[in-house]
Amino acid sequence: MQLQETCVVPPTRHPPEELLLDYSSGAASAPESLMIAAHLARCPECRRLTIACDALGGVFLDALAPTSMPPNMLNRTLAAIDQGGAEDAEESGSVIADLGKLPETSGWRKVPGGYGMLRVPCASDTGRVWLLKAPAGKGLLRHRHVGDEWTVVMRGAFRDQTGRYGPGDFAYLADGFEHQPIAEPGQDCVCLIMIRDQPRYTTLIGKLAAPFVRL
Amino acid sequence: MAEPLLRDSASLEDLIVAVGTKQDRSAFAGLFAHFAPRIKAYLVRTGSDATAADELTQEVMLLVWRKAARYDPAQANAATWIFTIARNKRIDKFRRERHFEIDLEDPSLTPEPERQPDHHLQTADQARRLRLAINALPEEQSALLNLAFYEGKSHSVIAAEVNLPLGTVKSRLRLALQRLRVNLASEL
Repeated sequence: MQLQETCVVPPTRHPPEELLLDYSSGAASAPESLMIAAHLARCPECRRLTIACDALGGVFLDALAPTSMPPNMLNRTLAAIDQGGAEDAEESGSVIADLGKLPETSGWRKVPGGYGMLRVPCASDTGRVWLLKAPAGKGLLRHRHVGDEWTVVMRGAFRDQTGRYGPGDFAYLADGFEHQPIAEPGQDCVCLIMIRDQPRYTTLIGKLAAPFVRL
Repeated sequence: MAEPLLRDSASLEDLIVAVGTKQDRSAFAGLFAHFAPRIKAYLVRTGSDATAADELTQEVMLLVWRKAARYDPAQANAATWIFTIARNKRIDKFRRERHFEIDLEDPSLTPEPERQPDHHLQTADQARRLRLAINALPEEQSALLNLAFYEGKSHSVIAAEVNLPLGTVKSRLRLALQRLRVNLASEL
Protein backbone atom coordinates (compact mmCIF):
# COMPACT_ATOMS: atom_id res chain seq x y z
CA MET A 1 0.00 0.00 0.00
CA GLN A 2 1.30 3.42 -0.94
CA LEU A 3 -0.16 5.17 2.04
CA GLN A 4 2.92 5.48 4.23
CA GLU A 5 5.11 6.76 1.46
CA THR A 6 2.91 9.16 -0.35
CA CYS A 7 0.13 10.38 1.87
CA VAL A 8 2.06 13.03 3.77
CA VAL A 9 -1.02 14.73 5.15
CA PRO A 10 -2.84 12.58 7.69
CA PRO A 11 -6.47 12.17 6.73
CA THR A 12 -8.21 14.58 9.10
CA ARG A 13 -11.40 15.13 7.05
CA HIS A 14 -10.56 18.85 7.14
CA PRO A 15 -8.50 21.05 4.85
CA PRO A 16 -4.99 21.55 6.25
CA GLU A 17 -4.80 24.89 8.08
CA GLU A 18 -2.50 26.51 5.54
CA LEU A 19 -5.23 26.09 2.92
CA LEU A 20 -7.67 28.00 5.13
CA LEU A 21 -5.03 30.69 5.47
CA ASP A 22 -4.65 30.83 1.66
CA TYR A 23 -8.43 31.14 1.49
CA SER A 24 -8.47 34.08 3.90
CA SER A 25 -5.48 35.88 2.44
CA GLY A 26 -7.07 35.66 -1.00
CA ALA A 27 -4.30 33.49 -2.46
CA ALA A 28 -6.64 30.57 -3.10
CA SER A 29 -7.76 30.18 -6.72
CA ALA A 30 -11.47 30.20 -7.62
CA PRO A 31 -11.66 26.37 -7.72
CA GLU A 32 -9.81 26.15 -4.43
CA SER A 33 -12.10 28.69 -2.78
CA LEU A 34 -15.14 26.80 -4.07
CA MET A 35 -13.89 23.59 -2.48
CA ILE A 36 -13.11 25.30 0.80
CA ALA A 37 -16.53 27.02 0.85
CA ALA A 38 -18.26 23.67 0.26
CA HIS A 39 -16.47 22.25 3.29
CA LEU A 40 -17.01 25.34 5.46
CA ALA A 41 -20.77 25.07 4.94
CA ARG A 42 -20.67 21.71 6.73
CA CYS A 43 -17.89 22.36 9.22
CA PRO A 44 -18.37 24.88 12.06
CA GLU A 45 -14.86 24.16 13.33
CA CYS A 46 -13.10 25.21 10.12
CA ARG A 47 -15.53 28.11 9.81
CA ARG A 48 -14.30 29.43 13.14
CA LEU A 49 -10.68 29.16 12.07
CA THR A 50 -11.46 30.92 8.81
CA ILE A 51 -13.20 33.74 10.65
CA ALA A 52 -10.11 34.03 12.84
CA CYS A 53 -7.89 34.17 9.72
CA ASP A 54 -10.07 36.93 8.27
CA ALA A 55 -9.63 38.77 11.57
CA LEU A 56 -5.87 38.38 11.12
CA GLY A 57 -6.29 40.04 7.73
CA GLY A 58 -8.14 42.87 9.48
CA VAL A 59 -5.33 43.34 11.98
CA PHE A 60 -2.73 43.37 9.20
CA LEU A 61 -4.77 45.87 7.17
CA ASP A 62 -5.19 48.13 10.17
CA ALA A 63 -1.48 48.00 10.96
CA LEU A 64 -0.43 49.26 7.53
CA ALA A 65 1.09 52.71 7.36
CA PRO A 66 -1.47 54.88 5.54
CA THR A 67 -0.47 55.79 1.99
CA SER A 68 -1.20 59.26 0.68
CA MET A 69 -4.30 59.58 -1.45
CA PRO A 70 -4.80 62.08 -4.25
CA PRO A 71 -6.76 65.14 -3.11
CA ASN A 72 -10.52 65.01 -3.49
CA MET A 73 -10.73 61.25 -3.44
CA LEU A 74 -13.40 61.40 -0.78
CA ASN A 75 -15.46 63.88 -2.79
CA ARG A 76 -15.02 61.85 -5.92
CA THR A 77 -16.21 58.76 -4.08
CA LEU A 78 -19.21 60.62 -2.67
CA ALA A 79 -20.02 61.83 -6.18
CA ALA A 80 -19.86 58.25 -7.44
CA ILE A 81 -22.21 57.26 -4.64
CA ASP A 82 -24.65 59.99 -5.73
CA GLN A 83 -24.52 58.83 -9.32
CA GLY A 84 -25.23 55.32 -8.20
CA GLY A 85 -22.42 54.44 -10.59
CA ALA A 86 -20.43 51.24 -10.76
CA GLU A 87 -22.56 48.16 -10.70
CA ASP A 88 -22.94 46.34 -7.44
CA ALA A 89 -20.19 43.90 -8.22
CA GLU A 90 -20.94 41.66 -5.32
CA GLU A 91 -22.59 38.47 -6.31
CA SER A 92 -25.44 37.56 -4.12
CA GLY A 93 -26.99 34.15 -4.09
CA SER A 94 -25.79 31.30 -1.99
CA VAL A 95 -22.94 29.21 -3.35
CA ILE A 96 -24.06 26.45 -1.08
CA ALA A 97 -27.68 26.53 -2.23
CA ASP A 98 -26.44 26.53 -5.83
CA LEU A 99 -24.19 23.56 -5.17
CA GLY A 100 -26.99 21.77 -3.37
CA LYS A 101 -29.23 22.10 -6.42
CA LEU A 102 -26.60 20.88 -8.87
CA PRO A 103 -27.14 17.14 -8.36
CA GLU A 104 -30.76 17.60 -9.55
CA THR A 105 -29.86 19.44 -12.73
CA SER A 106 -29.72 17.87 -16.12
CA GLY A 107 -26.43 17.91 -17.93
CA TRP A 108 -24.87 15.02 -16.10
CA ARG A 109 -22.51 13.16 -18.34
CA LYS A 110 -23.19 9.46 -18.03
CA VAL A 111 -20.18 7.24 -17.66
CA PRO A 112 -20.50 3.45 -18.20
CA GLY A 113 -21.15 1.64 -14.93
CA GLY A 114 -23.76 4.05 -13.67
CA TYR A 115 -21.33 6.83 -12.83
CA GLY A 116 -22.09 10.44 -13.58
CA MET A 117 -20.04 13.59 -13.97
CA LEU A 118 -21.05 17.21 -14.01
CA ARG A 119 -18.68 20.08 -14.62
CA VAL A 120 -19.07 22.82 -12.04
CA PRO A 121 -18.38 26.20 -13.61
CA CYS A 122 -16.02 28.42 -11.72
CA ALA A 123 -14.46 30.44 -14.51
CA SER A 124 -10.85 29.67 -13.92
CA ASP A 125 -8.02 28.00 -15.74
CA THR A 126 -6.19 27.03 -12.57
CA GLY A 127 -8.10 23.84 -11.94
CA ARG A 128 -11.28 22.01 -12.77
CA VAL A 129 -14.13 21.19 -10.46
CA TRP A 130 -16.50 18.32 -11.05
CA LEU A 131 -19.34 16.67 -9.28
CA LEU A 132 -18.81 12.97 -9.48
CA LYS A 133 -21.55 10.48 -8.71
CA ALA A 134 -20.84 6.87 -7.91
CA PRO A 135 -23.72 4.42 -7.45
CA ALA A 136 -24.08 2.95 -3.96
CA GLY A 137 -21.57 0.18 -3.38
CA LYS A 138 -19.56 0.87 -6.51
CA GLY A 139 -15.91 1.63 -6.64
CA LEU A 140 -13.89 3.90 -8.87
CA LEU A 141 -10.91 2.58 -10.76
CA ARG A 142 -7.72 2.44 -8.83
CA HIS A 143 -5.79 5.52 -9.80
CA ARG A 144 -2.77 7.51 -8.79
CA HIS A 145 -2.89 11.27 -8.53
CA VAL A 146 -0.54 13.49 -10.38
CA GLY A 147 -0.78 16.75 -8.54
CA ASP A 148 -2.93 17.05 -5.47
CA GLU A 149 -6.64 16.41 -5.60
CA TRP A 150 -9.25 17.79 -3.25
CA THR A 151 -12.56 16.10 -2.57
CA VAL A 152 -15.56 17.22 -0.57
CA VAL A 153 -18.36 14.73 -0.03
CA MET A 154 -21.72 16.29 -0.84
CA ARG A 155 -23.97 13.24 -0.34
CA GLY A 156 -23.56 9.67 0.75
CA ALA A 157 -20.14 8.43 1.74
CA PHE A 158 -17.11 6.64 0.35
CA ARG A 159 -14.26 4.63 1.77
CA ASP A 160 -10.71 4.11 0.74
CA GLN A 161 -7.71 2.73 2.62
CA THR A 162 -7.63 5.87 4.79
CA GLY A 163 -11.15 5.31 6.10
CA ARG A 164 -14.64 6.64 5.64
CA TYR A 165 -15.59 10.04 4.27
CA GLY A 166 -19.12 11.32 4.90
CA PRO A 167 -21.01 14.52 3.97
CA GLY A 168 -18.86 17.63 4.33
CA ASP A 169 -15.64 15.67 4.80
CA PHE A 170 -12.64 17.06 2.98
CA ALA A 171 -10.13 14.66 1.51
CA TYR A 172 -6.77 16.10 0.58
CA LEU A 173 -5.06 13.61 -1.66
CA ALA A 174 -1.43 14.35 -2.17
CA ASP A 175 0.54 14.09 -5.37
CA GLY A 176 1.30 10.46 -6.12
CA PHE A 177 -1.36 9.09 -3.79
CA GLU A 178 -2.96 5.98 -5.14
CA HIS A 179 -6.36 4.84 -4.03
CA GLN A 180 -9.58 3.14 -4.99
CA PRO A 181 -12.52 4.88 -3.37
CA ILE A 182 -15.70 2.83 -2.99
CA ALA A 183 -19.15 4.36 -2.43
CA GLU A 184 -20.85 3.02 0.67
CA PRO A 185 -23.85 0.78 0.11
CA GLY A 186 -27.28 2.30 0.58
CA GLN A 187 -26.92 5.66 -1.11
CA ASP A 188 -25.24 7.08 -4.18
CA CYS A 189 -22.15 9.05 -3.33
CA VAL A 190 -21.83 12.54 -4.79
CA CYS A 191 -18.50 14.29 -4.40
CA LEU A 192 -17.13 17.63 -5.42
CA ILE A 193 -13.69 17.10 -6.86
CA MET A 194 -10.99 19.54 -7.83
CA ILE A 195 -8.27 18.34 -10.10
CA ARG A 196 -5.16 20.08 -11.35
CA ASP A 197 -3.71 17.28 -13.44
CA GLN A 198 -4.86 14.09 -15.06
CA PRO A 199 -4.89 11.07 -12.78
CA ARG A 200 -2.61 8.34 -14.06
CA TYR A 201 -4.34 4.99 -14.06
CA THR A 202 -2.21 2.21 -12.73
CA THR A 203 -4.01 -0.89 -13.92
CA LEU A 204 -4.37 -2.01 -17.51
CA ILE A 205 -8.15 -1.83 -17.38
CA GLY A 206 -7.79 1.61 -15.82
CA LYS A 207 -5.55 2.74 -18.64
CA LEU A 208 -7.98 1.38 -21.22
CA ALA A 209 -10.96 2.99 -19.54
CA ALA A 210 -9.24 6.28 -18.76
CA PRO A 211 -10.63 8.08 -21.81
CA PHE A 212 -14.15 7.33 -20.60
CA VAL A 213 -13.69 8.72 -17.16
CA ARG A 214 -11.36 11.46 -18.20
CA LEU A 215 -11.93 14.40 -15.91
CA MET B 1 -12.36 64.19 9.99
CA ALA B 2 -10.08 64.25 12.99
CA GLU B 3 -7.96 61.11 13.05
CA PRO B 4 -7.58 61.01 16.88
CA LEU B 5 -11.31 60.53 17.22
CA LEU B 6 -10.92 57.33 15.28
CA ARG B 7 -8.06 55.80 17.21
CA ASP B 8 -10.48 53.82 19.26
CA SER B 9 -11.42 51.28 16.67
CA ALA B 10 -14.71 50.54 18.45
CA SER B 11 -15.99 53.73 16.87
CA LEU B 12 -15.18 52.44 13.40
CA GLU B 13 -17.86 49.77 13.81
CA ASP B 14 -20.33 52.48 14.82
CA LEU B 15 -19.43 54.47 11.72
CA ILE B 16 -20.24 51.54 9.43
CA VAL B 17 -23.56 51.07 11.23
CA ALA B 18 -24.32 54.80 10.82
CA VAL B 19 -23.62 54.55 7.10
CA GLY B 20 -25.78 51.45 6.84
CA THR B 21 -28.75 52.73 8.79
CA LYS B 22 -28.72 56.48 8.07
CA GLN B 23 -26.56 56.89 4.95
CA ASP B 24 -24.49 59.13 7.21
CA ARG B 25 -21.96 60.96 5.05
CA SER B 26 -19.79 62.27 7.84
CA ALA B 27 -19.55 58.73 9.23
CA PHE B 28 -18.48 57.64 5.75
CA ALA B 29 -15.89 60.42 5.69
CA GLY B 30 -14.53 59.06 8.96
CA LEU B 31 -14.28 55.55 7.53
CA PHE B 32 -12.67 56.94 4.41
CA ALA B 33 -10.06 58.87 6.40
CA HIS B 34 -9.07 55.79 8.34
CA PHE B 35 -9.37 53.01 5.79
CA ALA B 36 -8.85 54.43 2.29
CA PRO B 37 -5.10 55.13 2.81
CA ARG B 38 -4.68 51.65 4.31
CA ILE B 39 -6.66 49.91 1.56
CA LYS B 40 -4.45 51.68 -0.96
CA ALA B 41 -1.34 50.58 0.92
CA TYR B 42 -2.67 47.00 0.94
CA LEU B 43 -3.38 47.07 -2.80
CA VAL B 44 0.07 48.47 -3.56
CA ARG B 45 1.71 45.83 -1.37
CA THR B 46 -0.21 43.10 -3.18
CA GLY B 47 1.08 44.24 -6.54
CA SER B 48 -1.09 47.07 -7.82
CA ASP B 49 0.45 50.26 -9.19
CA ALA B 50 -0.45 53.52 -7.46
CA THR B 51 -2.96 54.77 -10.04
CA ALA B 52 -4.84 51.49 -10.21
CA ALA B 53 -4.75 51.33 -6.42
CA ASP B 54 -6.42 54.76 -6.16
CA GLU B 55 -9.13 53.64 -8.53
CA LEU B 56 -9.65 50.37 -6.75
CA THR B 57 -9.65 51.96 -3.32
CA GLN B 58 -12.51 54.14 -4.48
CA GLU B 59 -14.38 51.05 -5.68
CA VAL B 60 -13.80 49.31 -2.36
CA MET B 61 -15.11 52.35 -0.45
CA LEU B 62 -18.11 52.44 -2.76
CA LEU B 63 -18.82 48.83 -1.81
CA VAL B 64 -18.41 49.76 1.84
CA TRP B 65 -21.19 52.31 1.36
CA ARG B 66 -23.43 49.87 -0.48
CA LYS B 67 -22.92 46.92 1.80
CA ALA B 68 -22.97 48.82 5.09
CA ALA B 69 -26.66 48.05 5.63
CA ARG B 70 -25.76 44.36 5.79
CA TYR B 71 -22.89 44.87 8.23
CA ASP B 72 -23.26 43.07 11.55
CA PRO B 73 -20.81 44.28 14.21
CA ALA B 74 -21.33 41.04 16.15
CA GLN B 75 -19.83 39.08 13.27
CA ALA B 76 -16.81 41.11 12.26
CA ASN B 77 -14.97 44.17 13.44
CA ALA B 78 -14.62 47.05 11.00
CA ALA B 79 -11.09 46.22 9.85
CA THR B 80 -11.94 42.55 9.27
CA TRP B 81 -15.07 43.40 7.32
CA ILE B 82 -13.28 45.93 5.15
CA PHE B 83 -10.32 43.61 4.66
CA THR B 84 -12.61 40.96 3.16
CA ILE B 85 -14.19 43.50 0.80
CA ALA B 86 -10.77 44.78 -0.32
CA ARG B 87 -9.45 41.24 -0.73
CA ASN B 88 -12.41 40.15 -2.85
CA LYS B 89 -12.18 43.26 -4.99
CA ARG B 90 -8.49 42.62 -5.56
CA ILE B 91 -9.15 39.03 -6.64
CA ASP B 92 -12.02 40.12 -8.87
CA LYS B 93 -10.01 42.90 -10.49
CA PHE B 94 -6.56 41.43 -10.91
CA ARG B 95 -7.18 37.75 -11.26
CA ARG B 96 -10.64 38.09 -12.78
CA GLU B 97 -11.68 35.29 -10.55
CA ARG B 98 -14.32 34.81 -7.97
CA HIS B 99 -13.67 34.14 -4.34
CA PHE B 100 -16.35 31.71 -3.34
CA GLU B 101 -17.67 32.42 0.09
CA ILE B 102 -20.36 31.22 2.38
CA ASP B 103 -22.91 33.51 3.93
CA LEU B 104 -22.77 33.01 7.68
CA GLU B 105 -26.53 33.65 7.81
CA ASP B 106 -27.24 30.90 5.31
CA PRO B 107 -29.74 28.56 7.03
CA SER B 108 -28.37 25.56 5.16
CA LEU B 109 -25.04 25.78 7.01
CA THR B 110 -24.37 23.08 9.56
CA PRO B 111 -24.86 25.00 12.81
CA GLU B 112 -22.39 25.37 15.65
CA PRO B 113 -22.80 22.57 18.20
CA GLU B 114 -22.61 25.19 20.95
CA ARG B 115 -21.34 28.71 21.25
CA GLN B 116 -17.59 28.67 21.15
CA PRO B 117 -15.40 31.17 22.98
CA ASP B 118 -13.57 32.55 19.96
CA HIS B 119 -16.90 33.52 18.57
CA HIS B 120 -16.34 36.81 20.27
CA LEU B 121 -13.14 37.21 18.34
CA GLN B 122 -14.64 39.85 16.16
CA THR B 123 -15.16 42.56 18.70
CA ALA B 124 -12.74 45.44 18.71
CA ASP B 125 -11.27 44.19 21.96
CA GLN B 126 -10.53 40.86 20.37
CA ALA B 127 -8.72 42.65 17.57
CA ARG B 128 -6.48 44.17 20.21
CA ARG B 129 -5.81 40.75 21.73
CA LEU B 130 -5.13 39.30 18.32
CA ARG B 131 -2.63 42.08 17.65
CA LEU B 132 -0.81 41.29 20.87
CA ALA B 133 -0.81 37.60 20.04
CA ILE B 134 0.68 38.29 16.60
CA ASN B 135 3.39 40.42 18.17
CA ALA B 136 4.23 37.56 20.51
CA LEU B 137 4.80 35.11 17.65
CA PRO B 138 8.36 34.09 16.81
CA GLU B 139 9.66 36.15 13.91
CA GLU B 140 9.97 33.10 11.64
CA GLN B 141 6.21 32.60 11.98
CA SER B 142 5.00 36.19 11.83
CA ALA B 143 7.18 36.85 8.77
CA LEU B 144 5.26 34.17 6.90
CA LEU B 145 1.91 35.65 7.94
CA ASN B 146 3.17 39.00 6.71
CA LEU B 147 3.89 37.55 3.28
CA ALA B 148 0.50 35.84 3.20
CA PHE B 149 -1.54 38.93 4.02
CA TYR B 150 0.60 41.77 2.72
CA GLU B 151 1.59 40.16 -0.53
CA GLY B 152 -1.40 37.87 -0.97
CA LYS B 153 0.85 34.89 -1.61
CA SER B 154 -0.12 31.27 -1.13
CA HIS B 155 1.90 29.12 1.25
CA SER B 156 3.48 27.25 -1.66
CA VAL B 157 4.56 30.47 -3.40
CA ILE B 158 5.93 31.74 -0.09
CA ALA B 159 7.93 28.53 0.36
CA ALA B 160 9.48 28.98 -3.08
CA GLU B 161 10.30 32.62 -2.45
CA VAL B 162 11.85 32.31 0.95
CA ASN B 163 13.62 29.16 -0.17
CA LEU B 164 12.27 26.93 2.56
CA PRO B 165 10.95 23.39 2.16
CA LEU B 166 7.18 23.38 1.71
CA GLY B 167 6.81 21.23 4.82
CA THR B 168 8.65 23.82 6.93
CA VAL B 169 6.38 26.63 5.75
CA LYS B 170 3.29 24.53 6.41
CA SER B 171 4.37 23.61 9.92
CA ARG B 172 5.35 27.19 10.80
CA LEU B 173 2.00 28.50 9.60
CA ARG B 174 0.16 25.77 11.49
CA LEU B 175 2.13 26.55 14.64
CA ALA B 176 1.34 30.25 14.26
CA LEU B 177 -2.38 29.59 13.88
CA GLN B 178 -2.36 27.19 16.82
CA ARG B 179 -0.62 29.76 19.03
CA LEU B 180 -3.08 32.44 18.03
CA ARG B 181 -5.97 30.12 18.81
CA VAL B 182 -4.53 29.14 22.20
CA ASN B 183 -3.74 32.75 23.03
CA LEU B 184 -7.21 33.92 22.21
CA ALA B 185 -8.87 31.07 24.04
CA SER B 186 -6.84 31.57 27.23
CA GLU B 187 -7.44 35.29 27.38
CA LEU B 188 -11.18 34.96 27.27
